[in-house]
Amino acid sequence: MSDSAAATRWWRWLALVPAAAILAAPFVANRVEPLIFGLPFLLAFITGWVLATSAIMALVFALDERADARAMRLRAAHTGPRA
Amino acid sequence: MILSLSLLGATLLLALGLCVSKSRNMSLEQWSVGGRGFGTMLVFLLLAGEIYTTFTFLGGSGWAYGKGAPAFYIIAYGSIAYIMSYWLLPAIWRRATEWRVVSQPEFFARAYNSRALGTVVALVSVIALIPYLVLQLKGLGIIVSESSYGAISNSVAIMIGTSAVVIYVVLAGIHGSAMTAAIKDVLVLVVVVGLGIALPFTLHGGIGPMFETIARERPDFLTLPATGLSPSWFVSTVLLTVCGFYMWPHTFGSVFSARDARVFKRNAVLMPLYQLILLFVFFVGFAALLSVPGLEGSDADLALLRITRETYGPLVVGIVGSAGLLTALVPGSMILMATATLLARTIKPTIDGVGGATITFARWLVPLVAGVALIFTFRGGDTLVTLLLMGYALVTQLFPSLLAALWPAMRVTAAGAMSGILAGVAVVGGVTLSGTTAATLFPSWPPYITDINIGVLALFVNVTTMFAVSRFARQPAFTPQPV
Repeated sequence: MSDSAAATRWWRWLALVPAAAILAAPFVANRVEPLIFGLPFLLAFITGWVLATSAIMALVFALDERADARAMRLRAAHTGPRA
Repeated sequence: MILSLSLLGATLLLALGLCVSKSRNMSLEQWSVGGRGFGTMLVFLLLAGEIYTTFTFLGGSGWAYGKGAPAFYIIAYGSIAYIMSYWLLPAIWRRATEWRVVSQPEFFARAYNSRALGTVVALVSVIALIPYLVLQLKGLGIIVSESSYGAISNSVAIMIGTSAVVIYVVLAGIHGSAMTAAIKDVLVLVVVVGLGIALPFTLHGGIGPMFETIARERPDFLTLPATGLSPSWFVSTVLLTVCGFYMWPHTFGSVFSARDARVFKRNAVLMPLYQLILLFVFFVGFAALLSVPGLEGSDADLALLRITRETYGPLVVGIVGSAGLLTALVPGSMILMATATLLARTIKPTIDGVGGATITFARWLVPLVAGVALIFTFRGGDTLVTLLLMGYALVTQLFPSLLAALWPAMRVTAAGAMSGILAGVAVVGGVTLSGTTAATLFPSWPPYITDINIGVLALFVNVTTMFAVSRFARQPAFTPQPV
């Protein structure tokens, strides 16, 4: 059961997005212009993805928590009558 | 000068005084995680300030000043490490709780059922902590000599600083003072954010105009160069640092002190934001690039203090110096004590846990470890970032065996794990001592390959050896005997 639960947690793959973006930064964003909020483009790009990391991990965490709660309810429903 | 010196002295006395009073003690593990029993708002400030060690304070601004864009790797690796932590740390935590182990060597020893492997892990940690300690001592020397306007020379400052750290550790024992750490966190946060905003505005008309000036005068400085500290260097260094991030005895150790596994997931959400505090350190370095140019090589680490001296009076210099002093003293003493404790437990494995005898023995080792670090400190030459990367290259060698321990399907044996770690450490040692880079080994290869951090080679040798030994030298006990 835990295997199928893990398989349906597709949102976990979202965590790869910021990691890939930060690692790609030197190849896709190695520029000075345009300055964004006064920061050179490369620094702004990395900074933006650091902020996005936090947002995306918050989403992953929230979805995981919801799935955990549901799994717990299901388990309670299964074991309930027997107990 | 007198004013800034007396501020430094007062800070030192305060730090020593607080640890004698022992109002609240904490372990190394608690130092790297918030759990000190303060309120939510204060914890937020403390965590933000905790990002700053001597490395970030002087080294981060020094690299922005001396190298420019390659310094951005410092904010890049943290985010990826925290993403990894969301799954890695709960996995470690669950096993550690089940096995009832409380230190990194014990974890490895239990996972592979090999006491010898535990000893190897402890020794690798000790060797990796030495450059980390040297980094703090070097920083201490820079801070004291610069804030005393050169009245105290760098080497005298290092001697005084090291003695202070040793006394601090011996007085505070295995625990540091949580209050000193809290003062350090808040003071350094105020100082760095203050300088990071005030310097660009007073000297260059704002952060945007400052970068515009740099873009005009040093156009190559705000992007990664095509060779040397190039994109391949950046990516390989970030990945290597991510692998090593939780392998330090204190970061690994912080896992054991958590109450439940959800703490790590919540941290993975919040901690990336704290990385952004490092932007202010970069602003200081870039402001210094325009205003106090000409610091070459490892002198680049002086950038933050030099520009403070040139711009403000002795009062500000004294405050900045005091914050700097604490960023070296607090982590420095923790590292020193951790190293001594690891050594003590390795030399006398019969003494269990944190018993009184281990602590006494560890205290005897403190001056010895400090002495070794001093020798390396005076050898000189390296910037703070170089030293940190050396420590990371060593500690990263524990990562493959850790993953294999969490993932039994990899079928790695104790002998395999040990040979892998030793082979990796040997490569790091050989490369560091001989000053080899991939470019000197393979001069004809293109730069996008030779710029790859040499630590990756060590990791590759490590993983290959680990699998090869596990597969071909399987102990008889593991293979079914033909009847």
